[in-house]
Order: sequence, then structure tokens, then C-alpha cells
Amino acid sequence: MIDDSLISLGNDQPDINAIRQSVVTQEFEDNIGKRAFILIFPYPFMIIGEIIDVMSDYLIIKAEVTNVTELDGEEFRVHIDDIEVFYIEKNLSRPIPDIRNGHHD
Amino acid sequence: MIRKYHIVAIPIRIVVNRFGDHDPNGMMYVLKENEDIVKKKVELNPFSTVDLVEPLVIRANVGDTIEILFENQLPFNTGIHIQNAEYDVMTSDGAFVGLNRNTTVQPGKSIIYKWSVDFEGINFFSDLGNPLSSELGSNVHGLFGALFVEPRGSWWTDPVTGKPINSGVFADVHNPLLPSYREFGWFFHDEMEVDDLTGQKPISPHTLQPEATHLINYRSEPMRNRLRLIQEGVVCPDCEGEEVHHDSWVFGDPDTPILRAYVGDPIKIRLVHGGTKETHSFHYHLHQWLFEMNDSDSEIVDVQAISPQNQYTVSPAYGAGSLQGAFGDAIIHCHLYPHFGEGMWGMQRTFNTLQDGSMCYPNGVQIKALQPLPDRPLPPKPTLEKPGFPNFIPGIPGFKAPRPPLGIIGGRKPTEIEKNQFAPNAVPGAVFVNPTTDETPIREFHVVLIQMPIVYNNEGWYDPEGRLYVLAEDEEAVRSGKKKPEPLVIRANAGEAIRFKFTNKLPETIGGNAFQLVTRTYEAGMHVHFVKFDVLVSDGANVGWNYDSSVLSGETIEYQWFADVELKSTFWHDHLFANEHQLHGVFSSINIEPRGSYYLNPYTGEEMNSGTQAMIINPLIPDFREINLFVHDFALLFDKDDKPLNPPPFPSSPDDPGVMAVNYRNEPIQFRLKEPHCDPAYVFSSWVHGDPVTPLLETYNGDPVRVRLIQGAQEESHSFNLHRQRWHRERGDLDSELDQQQHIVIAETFTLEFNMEGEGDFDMLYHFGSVDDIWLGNWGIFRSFGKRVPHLKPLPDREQLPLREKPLPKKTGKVPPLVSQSEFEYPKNAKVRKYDVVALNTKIEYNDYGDHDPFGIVFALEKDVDAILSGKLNPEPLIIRANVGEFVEIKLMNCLKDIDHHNGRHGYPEVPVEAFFPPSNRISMHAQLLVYDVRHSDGATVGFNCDQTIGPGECITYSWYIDQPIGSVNLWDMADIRNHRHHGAFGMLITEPRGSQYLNHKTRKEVETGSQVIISTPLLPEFREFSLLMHDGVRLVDKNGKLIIDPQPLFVIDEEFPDFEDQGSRGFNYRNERFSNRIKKFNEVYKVFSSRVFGDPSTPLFLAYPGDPVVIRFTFPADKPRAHSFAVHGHIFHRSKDDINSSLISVEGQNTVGSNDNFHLLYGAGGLFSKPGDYMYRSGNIRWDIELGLWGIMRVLRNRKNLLAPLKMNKWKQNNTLNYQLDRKNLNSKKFQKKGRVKITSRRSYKRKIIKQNRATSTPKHQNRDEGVQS
Repeated sequence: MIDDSLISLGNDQPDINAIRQSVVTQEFEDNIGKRAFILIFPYPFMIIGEIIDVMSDYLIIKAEVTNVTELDGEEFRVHIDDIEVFYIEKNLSRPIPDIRNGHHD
Repeated sequence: MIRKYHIVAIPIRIVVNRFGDHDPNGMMYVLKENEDIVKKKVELNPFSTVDLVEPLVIRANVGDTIEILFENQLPFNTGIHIQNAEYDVMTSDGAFVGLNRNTTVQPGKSIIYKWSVDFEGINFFSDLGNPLSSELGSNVHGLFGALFVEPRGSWWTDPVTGKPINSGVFADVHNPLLPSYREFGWFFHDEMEVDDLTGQKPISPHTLQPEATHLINYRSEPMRNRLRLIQEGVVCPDCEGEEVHHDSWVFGDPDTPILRAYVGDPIKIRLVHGGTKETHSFHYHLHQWLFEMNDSDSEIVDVQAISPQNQYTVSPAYGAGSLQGAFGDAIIHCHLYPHFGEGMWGMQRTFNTLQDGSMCYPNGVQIKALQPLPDRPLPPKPTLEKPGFPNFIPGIPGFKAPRPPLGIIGGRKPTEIEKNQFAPNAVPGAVFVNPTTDETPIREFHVVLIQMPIVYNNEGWYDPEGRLYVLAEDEEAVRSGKKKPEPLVIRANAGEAIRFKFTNKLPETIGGNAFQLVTRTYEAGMHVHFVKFDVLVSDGANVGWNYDSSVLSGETIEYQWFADVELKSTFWHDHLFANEHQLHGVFSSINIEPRGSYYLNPYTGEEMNSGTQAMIINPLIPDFREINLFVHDFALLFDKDDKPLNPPPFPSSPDDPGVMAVNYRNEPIQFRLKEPHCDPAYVFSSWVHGDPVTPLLETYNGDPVRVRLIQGAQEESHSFNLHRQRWHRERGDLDSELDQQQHIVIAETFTLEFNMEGEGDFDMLYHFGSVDDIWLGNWGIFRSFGKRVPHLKPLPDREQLPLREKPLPKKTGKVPPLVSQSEFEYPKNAKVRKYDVVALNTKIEYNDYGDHDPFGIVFALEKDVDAILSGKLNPEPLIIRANVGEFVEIKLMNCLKDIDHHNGRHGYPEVPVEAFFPPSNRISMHAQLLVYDVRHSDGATVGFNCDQTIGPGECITYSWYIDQPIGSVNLWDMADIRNHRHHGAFGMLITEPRGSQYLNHKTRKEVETGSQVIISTPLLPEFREFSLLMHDGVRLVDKNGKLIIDPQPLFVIDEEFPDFEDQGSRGFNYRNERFSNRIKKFNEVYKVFSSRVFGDPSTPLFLAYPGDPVVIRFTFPADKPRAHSFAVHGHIFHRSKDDINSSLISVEGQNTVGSNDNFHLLYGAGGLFSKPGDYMYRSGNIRWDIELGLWGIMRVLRNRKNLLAPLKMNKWKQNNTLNYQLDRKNLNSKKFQKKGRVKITSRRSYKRKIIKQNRATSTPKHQNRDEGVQS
């Protein structure tokens, strides 16, 4: 049986936006404590940092690096829908590079 | 709200500075309430400036209607023509155009104009009753002003008294919802008739020759007057001149505008060009702003080019003092150095303490009160320990500003009062403000400024006094010739602080030759753009009451710059003797790259500290190749026999001396003629001549590229053009146009980003498009390889390419073979639109008065050739169209007859360093912005590409693909830039929406060409398309066969010989309507645009009905470097056609060779109110374009006429428009309004509703259709 919340406006099809939102939210929830790279529509556009928490449809992320040096180290509350691109650093995946000081492997 | 102003045009003596420089025949608009006061004050003060004598600025709020009672007290007809506002062209155009009524005003009479304004910004106004270009005209004497439109609900006060004001260039603007801001009107203007105190033309004490004056807000502070005080020993007797030109310690404050604010105050500078001729370069030290104020995607700029009658709002990020909260004086100036020297500068003064009128400047002059903005924190009061700027600086009035504390190695110790003002984290170079923290990464450089001869090309053109910045570590290699001299380019990453040691190793003098008098240049610095710094100590300049942050020869100083974000290339140069030595090469760049980048040499793969070309490697974003191109004019070069190249009329004259270059290199095309044929068609060919010495960018196909474009020196406009590759005009804004050309003035920088598109190996031409530039060698090649070559490292993150096995091509000295491609393969079902085009010689009649070009070269459709040759058809430029998604095949046939007016030396219109250069009888066609294979369809014989030009009797086929709705693109010949283009060898291609048909505007029959057509599409509304090609450098003869030497102003004998960039006649679509053909007496000038008096002009007459959607397609194909504005009366359009956040404008500036644009007129023909009448389109350059005939008419007809077919609406639209109108009528009825429950449906939501209804009713039909397809 399809969850009512997934039924969109009477066309008996799952609401793809609800699915996307729940999957993305779940993905962040499953990876609390890991490093993530996100590109977001609003300022400061890019954040690399540790996933602190997911509250409802908001991601709490502690930035190591952003596009704007002054905001490095700040904690951000980002709406899941504002995340346009993300990458979470998992155990065997490629590490997110550190762009703070010049050289990297 | 209706605002009423009573404006009077009066004659007035305008004194532009305290030295008594003045325009005895000045003219201004003034409010009636100030008229008597102004006249009386001027009478009492004939030799000094009067505050009220300034360009008239009135204000209104968005949504207001403005009623102007205009009274003319000048001895000829004048009016007020306003831009960007809505008005009835019949009653309020302020001009006498076409069949309209005369809305200029006779002497002593008055008129009422009504304007309405719907968006914030600048509405420039000026007189069109007397648009003469000479001193007989009104605009050069100051008859202009502006209406500033503020957000709804705003009011404005005097910044000194805090009281409400009715007019004035400066105001504090307040709003109940928005932050208050300081508003400063900044009117650049030029060509004013300025005499000195004695009534003579001002003389420079340096050259002892007459000198021009450049102004801001009727004020000018030229160096010549201040220099005289030095020479007379009144002040600073050990100074030279330029290094203290802006120094208030020596001379006190200038008479030009000083924009006063407290740290952090929001600012809007309303930048206006009220002048008539030059395209200026507005530069504002320390501050940056969004190019489009209301578009957060927009490019950040700190220099703005501005052509006559154009306007921009400059609202600096972070307000006064920028991010770092710097206080002090930040100079604002025209960056064109001769203009700067001739008075075009002022400054922004940012105070860090409260000014209530009780303080004095160090020279004893009172600091006028400055009301704090009501919603900003109150600045601290000055105290004895912390007196605030400028009183903590230990200078002595009458002497040069002191050197900064801390920064100079071996320098003085700071005073106690200076220490009190230090930032808590003060370091050398960032003493009073320092935006960095302990964690900010630091990058260090040691830069030295040296002098050495620089050879510019293989013909031995050289600068014996080349001056350039180099890294200290490279100095020996550069001086010894191991490393070729090039402009220094260093790099840093976003978020870094860059600390410099700078050592001045220049000799103490320069010049002593045909170009320059001997001048002392004993100190130098590094003035930087964009990055964040302490303006008091790291400006690398000597401005106002700041320190002199330069050093003497042999000294070293420390600077700190902070790169807060990724930036484009960031320009830096010397600010102390820039007029004297920047043109010798004193310009550089620091490119601020994305965080985490590092930089590799593209040929060795090793890390590098400097260089104009690099591979930028980044762990997050794709690696890219980078090339910096510095274009440069006034290059004071000698040939190998020590003969000066294009010397000025006298040494140190600013009259366009010298030649041009790119990165200290040039490749003049006069040296690339190969005997015996000496055919100009092969000047760009590396097969014949080898590669040029100008910068060569090498890439692999698909590589990301960023071209960092900068103009390093000195006065001219340039137009960068690149073949085949395209970029977004504003790099971060995908809504901005795709471009292939960029106008640039000194100190502007642009990043042109693209991926190298193409297959196989190919070469692409880049050039600075004007004939003068290309002639002098401002062109080069970008080369791309399909396979890996040994000498060029691939970008590390690209896939490995197979190794090239064939050897690289080499110069053979022979003409390359003609391209062999004649059959093209297209995808299945591709639509291919074919045009048979012929290039031929023909006479072109430019107007009904017999002015013509007997040696015209035109492109024409084959079917029109007979009519043209038999004289039945006076040719227009070829204008062809194709739809998005289509391929275009051009079969070009050469029917040139090898005739021209000369046999080798062209003469008028001239270029610098004229030489033998016979006309080519070959021809080609190059298209901008389209997608094609450079190897066979570029239309240019470039590098190691095959020959794409054709000889007489030959044919060639080019194939282009239209992938984007670009609109208008330039087409032109590339076989002979010098001899063909200005005779008409150009055209326009317009890309139209998919499925479009092109219909004759009268008969609605399909057409293949024409400047005025109806574009009919199945999906979009039909629209009228008017196409204009603006061009200059034309060589015309009159009906008697006498050569017309332009520009020659009317009714005066102009002894001044025009600069190269101004020579030649002008045209719209091979037509012009010169004033000299229409009027014979001065008092007729107001009638000159009138069709009632003189008939319609010969320039294209465009027809429309009220409300018709109209798109103007605009290109500028030829020929000279002078930039022009283009204006349309009574209509507005978005600056970027696809970007709704871009400004609404009615004038587009900086049009030059290669410009293309599309003006979608908002609300259709007749503007918001759909008013019928004659709307002028024209150049904005009063000097000399309009007078030489660059104007025409768009006629909006009141009633239906046979000469113009109406636009058709599709049935769906017709029905629903009707319904909509009916519904709207009902909804507006009192019955509904009274009940207060009906909201008028917006057009969009109404449409949505209708679509929904239609869908509902048409569903069965669709289903049936679907079923039909399936069955």
C-alpha cells in the first residue's frame, strides 16, 4: 500500500519530490558525523564540513571550509531543498580534498 | 504623485576651478527658484567656482509623474530630452523629430513636459534643440542634467545641513523601509570650451602647448595649474608634478567632487556621461560593485567604461571603506591617463570620526559638517588622542604627504598619535585596518620595477625605455635576456593575504626624445585593484590627505593585499608617474584563483611563480588553462633605425602617440605581405610568414580556458574579438549573453571562460578588432591540438590523449592550399538553409544628396546582383536569417574587379604608421558566434589553417550551425581588413526562434533579406524586426566626386586634425543623413531632424503600429577604435535580453568593432502608453556622430496604412485577448470594486486559467490524435 503522503494530487503516482526529499534527508541522517561537500543555491554557495545533525528537513553542518574564508568554522543550517549537489565522504570513498592551503594529493 | 519642477536653460559663465579656468559660454539647466541666486553669485565671483553651478539633478520616486515647466533663456531653440522615462513623444520628446510636433522651445518661451518613471535609477536628460558637435552646440557647454529616481516612499536631504532639498548632485536619501544611503551624481563630460583665467586656451607649463580639459560636474582639476605652483616655488619646490597632482597636503583639496561619508555608509554613485565624444574609464579606488546593481549573479567590477549619454549606478559592496572599513581618501578618476592629467578626477573621503563642522583640515580649511545617516551607528567624536582622519597624519601643508609608518624599510618611526589609530593587528602595509586574521594564509612576493629596452617584434620595433615589474628572483634572467620580458602576472588563491616587498629600481628620469620631454620619475609604487587593503598605506598612490605610499629609487616598501574571494585578474600598476611611464609597460596582474589551486607551467609542468600563461590545478573544479592578455596603446616605440613610430605633434603631447601591442609584442600586418603578389589575404597565415610574435595560447581540444583580458595602457578603446569560441559576458551569470567580443578600456579586466571546442588541429584568430589595432599588430593565434604533442603538457585531470605521430606544421613561405571541403555531412532530417552570396564592387549611395562610396564592396544575394549592378537597387548590407537548430550554407562567389582608390598607400581614413598595403582581390566571409568547424568555415586564413579566402571568379562554401538564439551576429570579410571592410564588406546574420518565417513588412510575403521584416513564429507572438549596422571609417565622395574629409563640424572651421580613430564618415546600413545636407544656417539647427521641413532621412525608416512587439538587431562591423553609444527615444529595453534582473536602459554604450546586441523594446512600439509618433534612434556621441548623420526614425503609425501590414495574432491569442479584455472591463466595474472582493486577475494568472480550461476541453481531441498516431 502506498503511503498517503506519497500520493500526489490525485493521479495515483508517488510524489517524486517527497521521495527525493526523504531519501536525501535519510542519506544525511545515516551519515551524521561524516564529512560532506555541498553546493547550495544561497550564500556561501559551497560548504565542506562535518554533518552534525538533521532536523526535519534541515541539515546542520559544521563548516571546515566555505567559499568565503570568514565563514570557515561556522555552523550552518541548510534546507535540504537548497542543496543542489552533495557528496559524503564514506569509508571507502574518495576523500574530499582540503582546499585551504595550496597543495593536495 | 505628481512632482513639478520649473527648469530654466540659462547662459552662465562656468568657472571650473579656483585657478580661474572657465567656459565663458557655459550653459546650464537650473531650477527657477535658484536662477537669480546663481546668476548673482556668478556675477560676484567671476573667477571662482560657485556651488550652485553644477549639472541639474532633480529627484522623484518610482511611480511618480513629473511635470516640467521648461523655460528657454538661451539665444536658440533648446529642449529637454529625457532617457529611460515614459512620455508622449508628441509633447515631451524635447526634440523636433520626423513628423512630430516641435517640442523644443524658442528663446524666451516655455513648454510643459510630462514624464513618468517606473524604476529606480538614472534618467539622463540633455538638449536636442542644438545637437551641434562644435562649440556652437549646447551639450559641450553643459546643457545636461539628470532625474534620479529613488525607491518608493523616499525623501532626500542635504548631507551638510540635513534639510530637505529640491535639487543638487549630492543628497542623502532616506526611506521608511530601506537603509538610508548617500547619493552622489557624478557627471563625466568632455570637449567643453575651457579658457584659462586670461581667456586664452590653457597652456601646459610642461609642454608649453595648449591643452584640453576634462571635467566632472562642471569642475576640473588639471595638473597644469598645480604644476605652475610648484614651478613658481609656491609649494613643494622639490616636487616634479604628477606624483603630487592629487596631494591635498601640497595643494589643499581639489575643486572637483569629494564624496564624503563615514565608514560603512551605503553609497550610490549615479554615474552619468554628460559629454559628447570620449568613452571614459570610471575607476573608484578601494571599492567594488556589482555591474548590475539588482542582479546578485552579476560580475564584480571596479572600473566601468562609459560612452556619451550612458549611465550606471555604482553601489559599492560593504559601503564606504569596503569590507575592511578603510578610512581615508580613495581617488575616483577617469583612468584614461591624459584625461586624468587634464582634470578628470575627484575622490571619496571616508571619515572615521564625527564631523560636525568644528574640525579643520591640516591646512586650516574647515571640515564641513556631515550629517550621519539616521540608521547608522554614530561615529566616535574626535579627541586629542584620536583626532580621526586626516588629523593623525603627521604631514606639513605645502609639502608632499608623509610616507606611511611601518612599511618602508629603514623608514621613520610612527608618532604616538599614529599609534593610537593603529589597528589591533597592524602589520607593515596594513596599519590602520587589516582584514586578515592570524589564520589567514600568507603568500609573499618581492617585486622590483626595472627599466630595460624591450623589443616588440622581429622588425626591430623597440622601446628603449621599457619599464616593467618583475619578481626579484627573475630580475637577472630578464635583464640578461634569458627570460623574455612580459607583463608580470602572479597568482594567489582566494582567502589569502599577499604580502609584498616592492623595490623601486627605476632611473630617476625618463624621456628626452620625440615622444617625451625629459621628466623626473623618481618615485613609484604598486597600486592594485579589487583586493582589500588599507588605503592610507597600501594604495601605492599619493591621494588627498593620505600618506604617499610610494618609494624613491633604491627604496623598498611593504604592502599587504587581502583576496577575500575568487576574483578575475586583478590589475596593478604605478600611480605616481603613470602618465609618463605606464605606457612603457608598467602594468601587471595578480590573478586570484579558486581556493586550493596551484599553478603549473604549461610547457614544463613545473610549479611557477609568475607568467602570463599557466595551468591552474584545483582539487575540486576542473583544471584549466589561463592566459593573460594585456592590450596596450600609446606604446612609444622606435623602429630598428631609431625612427619614432607615429610621433606626436610635440613631445609629451597626449595626441595619440606611438603604436599598440599585446603583452609587449605586436605583429604589424604591413610586414606580412609576401612578394611578388603582396596579397593581404595571407597576413595571418603561419604557412607564409610563420607564427606571429604575439602571445600564442596552445591547448588540447576540450580544455577549459580562462582568458584574462586587461588593458594596461593608456587611452584608447579596444575591442577584443576571438574566432569561434564563446563565453558568457558575465562569467558567473548564465543569463548573460554569449559573447565573442569585448570592448575594453584601460584598467578594465574581464575573464572569458570557455572550453576549447573543435576537432583535429586548428588555429583561431584573436584580434583587437579595429583597423588601427590590427594594422599595428594587435592580433594573435590560439592553437588547439587533437592529439598530444611533445611540447605541451596536458591538464592533469583530462583523459590521456593519443600521441601525435605526424610532425607539426612549419612555415613554408608558400600560400596555403584552398580548403577542400565542399560537401558537408549533416544529421538526418537536418534543415539546411542555403544562401548564394556574391561579393562585388558597386557604388553605394549613402543619401539622397549624392554622397556616395564609388568603391563600395558589398555582399549581396545572387538574385539581387543584376539589380545592384544596373543601378536599380542601392545596396543595403546583406542581412540574412536562420532559425535555431538549422544549418546555414553560404556559397560565396567572388566578383570583385580589383579596383580601389589607391594602388598601395591607402591614405584617408588613415591608420598610424601608414605603409604600402595594396588592396586584395580575394574575399571571404567570417561569422561571429555560430558553431562551425574552424578548419573550413571560419572565413579567415589563419595560422596553419588552409586558405578560406577566394580569388576573383572562385566560389567557396561555408557551413555554420545555429545552436542558440543569439540574435544578431556580425559577418565580415577577413581577406583584407585594411581595404575592404570600411567599403562595406560586412553583413549581419540573425538567428531567429525555431519555426520562424521572415515576412515582408508590407506584403507579408516571405523574404530572404532586408532590414525591416516581420518574424512570424508558430509559438511566440509575431514581432517586427529592425536591423541596424552602425559603422564608421567610411570613405565617401560628394555628388561632385569631391572627397569628404570627416569629421568636419558644421558652421566652424576646425583646425584640429582629427585623431586616427575619428577619421572617416559614419553610417547606419550604408546610409547617413548629414546635417550639412539639410541645414545651411545656425538658426535652423533645431529643425534638422524634422521630416516636415526636410523630408524623411535616408537612414532606415522603421514602421510599426502602436504596441507592436519590436526587436532591434544591432551590430557594429567596422572600422575604427572610437566607441559609440546607441540610443532609442521613448523606449526602454533590458541591457541583457535574457536577464530580467539586468538594468532597463534606453542607451547602450561602448559599441565598437564586433559589438552585437538585441534590443527587445519593452511594451512594444510607442512605449508603455503605446503612443504613435516618430521616435529617433541615433548615436549618443554628439561629437561628431549625430551631425555626420548617425540618426534615423522609428515611426509608430496611428492608423492602419497600406505601407505596413499589421501583425497577426494566432487564433488562440486573439480569442483570449478579447476575453481577457472583456473580463478586465467587468472586473473594473464599480459594482465589483465596491464589494471589495474582486481582485483583478493578472495577465499571467489569467493565461494560466485559460490554458487550464483549454486543456480540459481539448483533452478528448488530444486523446483521439494520440490514438490516431498509435494506430
